Amino acid sequence: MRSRDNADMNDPPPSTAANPYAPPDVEQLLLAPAEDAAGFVTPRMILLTRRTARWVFLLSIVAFLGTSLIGLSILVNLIARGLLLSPGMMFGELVILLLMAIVGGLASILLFRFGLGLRRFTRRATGPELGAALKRQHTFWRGTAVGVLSVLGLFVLLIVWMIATLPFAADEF
Amino acid sequence: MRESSSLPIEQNPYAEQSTQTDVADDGGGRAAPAQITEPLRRSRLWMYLLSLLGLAAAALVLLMLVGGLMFMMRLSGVQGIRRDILPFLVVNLVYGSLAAALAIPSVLLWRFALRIGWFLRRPTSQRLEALLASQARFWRWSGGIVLGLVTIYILMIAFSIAMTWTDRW
Repeated sequence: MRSRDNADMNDPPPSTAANPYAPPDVEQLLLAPAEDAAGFVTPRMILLTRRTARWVFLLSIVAFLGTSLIGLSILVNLIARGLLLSPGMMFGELVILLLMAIVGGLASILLFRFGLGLRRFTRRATGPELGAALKRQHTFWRGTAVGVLSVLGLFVLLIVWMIATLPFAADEF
Repeated sequence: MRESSSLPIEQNPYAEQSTQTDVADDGGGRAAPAQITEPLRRSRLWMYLLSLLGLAAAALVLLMLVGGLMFMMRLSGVQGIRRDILPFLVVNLVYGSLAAALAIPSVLLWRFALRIGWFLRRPTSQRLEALLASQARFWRWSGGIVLGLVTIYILMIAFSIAMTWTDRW
């Protein structure tokens, strides 16, 4: 502790427990480590995050429903064809749809987790909670980007495969 | 005893907390800790990538829209809009809204990623507020657009049912 008004009194300063009127220990605040996020959060941040969380939840639910519809379409397709898939485009279509359903499902779950992180931050209003929510957002963006790239990669592969097998298909006619 | 107000601020335990804790203040509030800046730094590249993919998809849908419009114009000729080109009109409307639905969030995502870079150059609480406002704008627009698309989708289903019904009777 810094020397205070007790310098001329020669007795130790009263402890915080003994003195309920003691002010907050400012030096402890000053010496807080740089990575401590306490005191960084402002009310406006909480307000903005609360507004964001609503839309994130809505989007995650809509994405999950959309994914379920894709999954349903795959199921209907399989049942309608009596599981007799002809090799070629039909199989490729189903694989792409399946991958889209998986990617969409994962993205919606990650988005929902991001929404939960945002809501936790709005309730506790601490820096670490904000950091955790932003980390979940990072996971969502990374997962979505990797998923979209996988679908696109599969799509390109399918087109290449179709072009490669085109002469053989023409021979059949 | 001493007068607390006569002490310099460094020695005054009763001074306001905000003036004492702004150690890393650069004019915009306290500097952000790494637990906030790091996830943002790592998200930025993925956001740029997704934004570019969204813009490319929007351009592709726009091309399909132009192709559809040209086909429709050839079909209708100079006689104006006929009944049988109505479905094409609806499809073009859907393509147009889809292109907008892809382009607007992509642009907002790009701006959000740009705002992250701006924040990381000077990570203060004020800049974080602006960044969170940008984030809120992106998610609000995306949510609104998705709601609009769902509405259009439901209307399209209703329209196709109505068309089938009128053809039958």
